[in-house]
Amino acid sequence: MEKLFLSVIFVLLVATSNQLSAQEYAVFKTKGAPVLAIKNTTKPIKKGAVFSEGNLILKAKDTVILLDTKGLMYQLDQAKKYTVSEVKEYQKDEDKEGLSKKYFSYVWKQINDKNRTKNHTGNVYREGIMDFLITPLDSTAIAANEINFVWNENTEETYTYFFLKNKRNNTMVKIKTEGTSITLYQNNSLLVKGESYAWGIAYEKYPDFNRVKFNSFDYLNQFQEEERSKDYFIVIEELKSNGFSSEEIDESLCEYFQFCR
Amino acid sequence: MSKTKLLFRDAFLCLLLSLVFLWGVSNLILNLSIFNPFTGAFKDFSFLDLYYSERMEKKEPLKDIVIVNIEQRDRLEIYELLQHIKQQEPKVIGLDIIFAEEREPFIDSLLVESFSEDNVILSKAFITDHWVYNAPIFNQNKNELGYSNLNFDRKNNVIRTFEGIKTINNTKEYSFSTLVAKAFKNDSNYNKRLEQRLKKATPISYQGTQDDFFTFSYDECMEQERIPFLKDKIVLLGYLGTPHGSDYDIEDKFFTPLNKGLVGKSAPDMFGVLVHANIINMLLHEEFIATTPFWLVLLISSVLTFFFLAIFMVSSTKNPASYTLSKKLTQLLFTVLLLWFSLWLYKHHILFKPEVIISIVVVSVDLIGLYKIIANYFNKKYKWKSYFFQ
Repeated sequence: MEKLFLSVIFVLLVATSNQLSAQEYAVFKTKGAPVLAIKNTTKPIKKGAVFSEGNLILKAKDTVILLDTKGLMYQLDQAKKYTVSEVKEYQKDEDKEGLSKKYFSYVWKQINDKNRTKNHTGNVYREGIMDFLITPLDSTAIAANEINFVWNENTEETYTYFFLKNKRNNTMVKIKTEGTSITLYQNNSLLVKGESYAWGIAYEKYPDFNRVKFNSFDYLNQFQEEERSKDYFIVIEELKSNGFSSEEIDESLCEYFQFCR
Repeated sequence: MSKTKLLFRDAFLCLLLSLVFLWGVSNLILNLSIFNPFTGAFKDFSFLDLYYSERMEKKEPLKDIVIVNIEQRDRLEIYELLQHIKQQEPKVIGLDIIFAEEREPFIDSLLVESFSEDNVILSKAFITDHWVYNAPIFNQNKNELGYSNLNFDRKNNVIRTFEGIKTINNTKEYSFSTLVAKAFKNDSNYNKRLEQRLKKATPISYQGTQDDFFTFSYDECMEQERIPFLKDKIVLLGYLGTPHGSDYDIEDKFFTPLNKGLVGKSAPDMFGVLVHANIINMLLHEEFIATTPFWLVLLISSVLTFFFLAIFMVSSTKNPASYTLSKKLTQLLFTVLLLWFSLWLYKHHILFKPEVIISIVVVSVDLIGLYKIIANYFNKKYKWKSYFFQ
């Protein structure tokens, strides 16, 4: 009797653990900006993330495709909050048509010649992006107290409009200049350490910002700079042992790793 | 000789006539340059491509392989990507990239350092008659090196088969996909068990396109500090277009049976690393497609043709009015149904090429008229008896 009781408990435990482990999902694809809320924190849902608890919050036009441990797919595309346990109800519709149906439909289409019509339009739709930027490169981390922004010369225009966008609060500064570079210094309003920025230039006072190329950069504070330096500790030591000077090391880090000190 | 025996003899002789005719015509088409456009058009054609181009395959989950696009990134960026991927603890990392020459010593030495672990598999390529390797500096760690050639069939532009093990210059070589699958399975008997099969050209069981595999662009991968899904997976680094997955980028892209254009002009449809991913997926699940031997195809063709010839020879004498119509309808129905049967077999992992059977049956039945003329000539000249002229 005791053995039977223990066996039942063992079977129940195995079944329960299987159930629990099946509730782990990996994010296969996302569209829009869906978020995952776990307890008091929310974070964006990114491809490759794995989770087994929390709520998925989707807004209008958001889509998330999830993969469970067995490889089955689930598609969430309605604006609402989904609990993890609800996800299994949204298995992605499989292609239920069998081979025979698909094949004979294909034969029928060929007989009816339904696929023959094609349009051939000989034109190109292209939007020009104005890209004159040289440095700082896109996705750079900068720790220096001054930043020199450099761009290519456009001989047709006299004035250039320099734009600096604060990515956190989405504010933009515009400066009119005649040259091909501008240097800004760290201060408490225009360039604040710890913030993320994007910079770009245009030749019109009020440009179409969809056609202006912006390079992003993180302006590192002391703590961020120290953390980032740790990431490159091995590289820095390697360069030192190869006889590089401090300036040369900084130049290499800026050129190759986009970490400018 | 009884009429039935004469009928069977005539059916057999007409079958021989058809085989000689088909052999002659196919040789003529292959050898005369005037027929080059036809040769070119039919060379890459297979009825069974319909299985993939019309998406008749059963989709299986593709959860063990992740592909990361190296885009047009330089060696330093590839090094950073590799370091980032290693932090995610994948089981195997395969590089479908060849660093053929040395460039900047410092960056090359960083890359060499990043290849130092056993789970990194590198590739090489056999081009025409020589190997293209990584520069010697990259092979310091004695990583496993697999050939990235998908197959060695130089006559066909469509990648339908692959060769997992190949003896080249008296050395047994393993394909990149075979080594990656073996490393993932961690099975020392893997090659031994599958050696005979992998030595031959094996049909590829395609399971997915770029939409079905887990793929990351360079930025998608780098911008996330942790990607838990990559843990214990196979991560392949290769080219998936710039921008990621671009339809218009044909670098390292191949024609596969999944191409929507079954015949005629079309663009290549699948990046090389995705073909490798399909092969690896097939090797992991050991779901191979058995090929029907050619002798069996010929035997079935002969039996079926003999059967149809006998029926239509009777029909041509008994129902001459409806004979032509019924012959054409039968040819059409036979082609449609045999193709359906071949696709059904393919679904159950049996490769049964219908082209030979269809061509022999259809052409033979149409040659009954010619056979009648020859039989009539011999009957008049030599009193030779046949089912038609006794």
